[in-house]
Amino acid sequence: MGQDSAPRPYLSIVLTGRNDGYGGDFVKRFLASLQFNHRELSGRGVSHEFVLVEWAPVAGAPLLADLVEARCPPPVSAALRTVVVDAAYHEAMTLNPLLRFHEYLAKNVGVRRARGEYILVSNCDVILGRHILAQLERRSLEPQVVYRAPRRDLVAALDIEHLHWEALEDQANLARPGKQLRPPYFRGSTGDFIALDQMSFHRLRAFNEIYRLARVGVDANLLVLALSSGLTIVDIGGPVYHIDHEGSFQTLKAKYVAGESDAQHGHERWNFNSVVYRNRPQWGLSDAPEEPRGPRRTYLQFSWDAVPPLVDLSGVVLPARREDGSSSTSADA
Amino acid sequence: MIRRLLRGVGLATRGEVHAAEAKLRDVRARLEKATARLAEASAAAQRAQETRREDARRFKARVTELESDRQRHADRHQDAAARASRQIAQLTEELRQRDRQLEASLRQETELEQQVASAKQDLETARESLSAIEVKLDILEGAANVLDVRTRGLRPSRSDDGPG
Repeated sequence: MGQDSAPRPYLSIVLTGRNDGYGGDFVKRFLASLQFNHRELSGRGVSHEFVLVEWAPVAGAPLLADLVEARCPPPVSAALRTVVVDAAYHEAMTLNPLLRFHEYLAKNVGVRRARGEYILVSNCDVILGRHILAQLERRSLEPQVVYRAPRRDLVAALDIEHLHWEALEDQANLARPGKQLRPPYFRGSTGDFIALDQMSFHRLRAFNEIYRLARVGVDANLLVLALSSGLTIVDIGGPVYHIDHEGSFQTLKAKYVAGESDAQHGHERWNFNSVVYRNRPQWGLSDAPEEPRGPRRTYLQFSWDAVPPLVDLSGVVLPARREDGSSSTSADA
Repeated sequence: MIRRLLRGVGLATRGEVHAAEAKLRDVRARLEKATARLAEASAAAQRAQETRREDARRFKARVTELESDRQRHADRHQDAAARASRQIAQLTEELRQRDRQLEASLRQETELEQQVASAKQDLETARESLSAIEVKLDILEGAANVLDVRTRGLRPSRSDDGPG
């Protein structure tokens, strides 16, 4: 992937998306968040890169990467690397034909290729809060610690193109009361903020690639694996912000409550709290042939050699701590 | 002179006789009184002595009675002490027996607790295994569905089946 010779940033922010109009004007929300986060990180001297994984682009539609790069100011574009993943990977890997977007397979592609000392896995419309930015500015993150942040949902009516701290931090703009993260897993909108040092992320082999039937719970499943692998999970101490939109999990959850099997997010009640996983060493489509398409863009060409087996039951394991009562981990094996 | 002469021959005058008789009567009267008083005193002394004797008898009887009571009490206490000693010995034995039973119960309880803990652990293991099996079944079901879709996609359409 490009930019391998560039200095290693302190932080890689892994994001995923595609131009499918998810949640209304996805591109607008993405650009607003991207620019805000870039401005705030740069202002604090936090060296960073954004790794955007465009998973299974919609045939016939412009690439999200093109739309973003075209509308991004040059400094933001310079911090953005994109990995476009051939749509055939989605078809080859999915175990749930109803799932349109394998968010965490996409995030794994980004995690695998992120160069930062620390990797933050987040979403395109998530805005980093002031406390988090301060922590990053102080470079106070520690290895082998999974950092979580609570999410504050803001009302959809907020002017996303003119974001400022007063609007973000105004309690009156909260769409619903914020939830407190609770130990041991500090779950809750987990996919919006998981930060971990690169080495530990690689040691865990990132998100579950064995159970490819759901989007829901895959993020929490990583926390179960992390804890059973001896990592520490903490609340970083301040929130991220997210502006409400149509099609978010919160709104879809109510829609599909009667017919979960039809839900676009896949099964909601699978055993992500009690069963963990062991991805193959080639997780994150590491064997996929990479085709450079510009200085900051890579295209992952489809190859069956890079596709994990449809079924890999040996990768379904119990948390090591529960298995034998010790704190040793399956991920250490 | 006459009186002197009479005295000389051992005789007294009538007056003297009368006086002597009166004196005698007086003495006799006093003697009788004294005798009566003596008799009274003797009777009183007799009565007092009787009373003392009676008191002494009663005292002695009381002492005897008290001594008897004391003895009875002592005997009773001795019996009670003996009974208590026997009861203490019996209770001590019962207590030892109960201690032994309690120890046995505790051992049994500990064994039961261990069995419960072991059963719980087995149950937890079974639950975890079941969870893993459920996940594996989900995966297999998903794979079957996907393969089904793919197979249907590979099936030639009717127009490809042959001429006609």
